[in-house]
Amino acid sequence: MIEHGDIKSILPHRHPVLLVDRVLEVRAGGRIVTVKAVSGSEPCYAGLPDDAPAEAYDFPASLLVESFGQSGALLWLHTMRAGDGVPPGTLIFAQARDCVFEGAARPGDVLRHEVRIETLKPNNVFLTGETYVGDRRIASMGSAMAVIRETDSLSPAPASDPTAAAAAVNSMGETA
Amino acid sequence: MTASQQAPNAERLEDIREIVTEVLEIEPEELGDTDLFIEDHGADSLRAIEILARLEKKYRVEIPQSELPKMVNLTAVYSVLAEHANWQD
Amino acid sequence: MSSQSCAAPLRAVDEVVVDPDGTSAAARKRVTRDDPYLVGHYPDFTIYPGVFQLESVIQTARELIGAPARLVKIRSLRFTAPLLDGDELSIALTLSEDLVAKTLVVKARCTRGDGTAAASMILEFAR
Repeated sequence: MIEHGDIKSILPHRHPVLLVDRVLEVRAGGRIVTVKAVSGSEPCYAGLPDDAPAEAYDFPASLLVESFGQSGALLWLHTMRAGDGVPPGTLIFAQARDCVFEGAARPGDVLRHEVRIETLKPNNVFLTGETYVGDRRIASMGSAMAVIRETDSLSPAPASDPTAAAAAVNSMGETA
Repeated sequence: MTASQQAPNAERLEDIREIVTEVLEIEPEELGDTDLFIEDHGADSLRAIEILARLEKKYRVEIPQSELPKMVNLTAVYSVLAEHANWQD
Repeated sequence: MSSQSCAAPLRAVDEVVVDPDGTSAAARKRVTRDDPYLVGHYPDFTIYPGVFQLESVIQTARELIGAPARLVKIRSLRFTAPLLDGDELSIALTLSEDLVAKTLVVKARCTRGDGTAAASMILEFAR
């Protein structure tokens, strides 16, 4: 189990965009299970008027995907550290396919992500997985790909983890 | 090229065509056997990486990233795959 | 504080122009480190998370489909360039119907102010 404070020593994301509360289990090269509690006191709910209907409180899909992606990043980092080491550069979410949103999470729900590595190369990783609230599956991510880009010298790295730093500004352009 | 020079197995070729065209987001009929993914169909490095990963997953083989530069069209992809999957066509 | 019709990490579009026939729209968003979630992404350097480009497209789509529009599927989603503090994001979106799946299909392209393609995606919304 990896607690929230320790997650902060692995990922550069900070409040309120660090969307993994706790790692329940992780196996290098295999899968990770993480949880993130959805709370009514998060910024995404701040602007809702008092008469907003219940559906207005559905946790935004974009944040659900981000939470899933951060879980994948933790799995990747754990895997690389257990193997040949973390390569220089930043892990960047490059693409996703066939992500189905079957239900929603609301304040009081706890998201549980199960993320698995499908293929792993020195500079890219394909992930798949699902998100549950209790026994109810609310999303399944067909395939998500992240690539490692060389960190640009312009962008300062956060103190917490020099390799998971601010992105490669210029080198991203070559993929267009 | 060390891979087999025999004609590709037709059914396998169509399976691979389906995977490649799904990634390139075109219809299978639109992809000629020697059409270049990059020059003729606007693919970039991300598409190439995805094609490789999908083939690895489907055929349960490992293909090193170093083979990517060779995999320029459907025929070449078949060749690389045949070599790593040890297909005796 | 401006009220919003559903939970959202930020106001991901500054301006939306909807085509009269209601099948396409264009939108703009200026990336600013002052948006609530960006202060943590990252503390030393602001990068607009890729998923917020998804959010920009979703908010633009809601102008066409209606506020409660629910995302049911991401068919494909690609990020090809990062957006930094001060960058302008342009979104171009078209709407069609998938009669088999009974969903509304949104195809969108996001472009950075300098003309670089930033993202492209195909999404499905419940009717």
